[in-house]
Amino acid sequence: MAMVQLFTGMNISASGLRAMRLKQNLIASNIANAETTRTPDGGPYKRQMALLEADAREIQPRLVIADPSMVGRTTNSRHMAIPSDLFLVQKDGVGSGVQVQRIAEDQSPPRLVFDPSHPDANAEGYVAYPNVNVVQEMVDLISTTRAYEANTTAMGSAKAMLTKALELV
Amino acid sequence: MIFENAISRHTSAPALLRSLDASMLRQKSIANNVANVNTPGYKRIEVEFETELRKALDPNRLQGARTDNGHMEIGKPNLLTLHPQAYRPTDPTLPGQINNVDIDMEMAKLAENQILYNSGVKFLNDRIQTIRSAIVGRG
Repeated sequence: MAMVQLFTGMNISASGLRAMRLKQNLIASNIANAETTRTPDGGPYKRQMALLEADAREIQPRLVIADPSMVGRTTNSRHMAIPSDLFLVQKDGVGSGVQVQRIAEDQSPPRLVFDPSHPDANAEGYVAYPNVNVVQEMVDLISTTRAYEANTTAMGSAKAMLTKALELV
Repeated sequence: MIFENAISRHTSAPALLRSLDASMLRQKSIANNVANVNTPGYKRIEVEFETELRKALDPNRLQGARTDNGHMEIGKPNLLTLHPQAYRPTDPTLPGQINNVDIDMEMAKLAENQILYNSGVKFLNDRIQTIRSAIVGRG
């Protein structure tokens, strides 16, 4: 348990790295399939996105109240007020990083292009192309890459601190 | 036990140990904020410790005498039971469900925290060296 807590900082950053890498894979898949009109499910490719969720396993602060009956009562205006938060002994949960809740498909309608000669054209001559906006994907790619780098930095810092702790004695 | 007494009789060592604990927790909170920088609706976590430490070290602050372990603490927080507190700051400028992590702030806090931790380790090492030379003597 102590060991698990020791490396929590690095595990949190690792969860961030994993989530960002998955996002990056989905962006790559979206860009690669920006023109795909046929999929096993039928119809054009649908833009995929990762739904991120804060991992709340330790998010609830541990409130250890020494003795609730010990909250100071003031029965006289000259009594000293003893705040109840005096008894919040431990409150040090910080959460366990991020997790990908699920991979969702963008349900917005496909992009219709008039091209009657295309084998996948419908009766009116329109071809349904994926609802992928390549420019949007590139922007997402930049922010995901930056977030990945930030997580790397945080992990490096955790590593440096743990290494520094080994220099004690 | 003797060693522990020798260290903890002085204020500096327990204060340093608490401060190292706080830095480690703050590192985790920053890592958590950075990991959730793209999570919708996430609220950043911060760690509060230094103001409590300052209160505990303030000689002018009133402190109730404790002659028994069952006694409760009044006034000044006890240095040996001081804990860093993780909390979510309320940000009045940001409404509702907007992620309030500022990546530049977090990176700055990360660097600052690491330097703080390193200086804590350095001071503690010096303290240990002092005790060590008291044991070994100058030979």
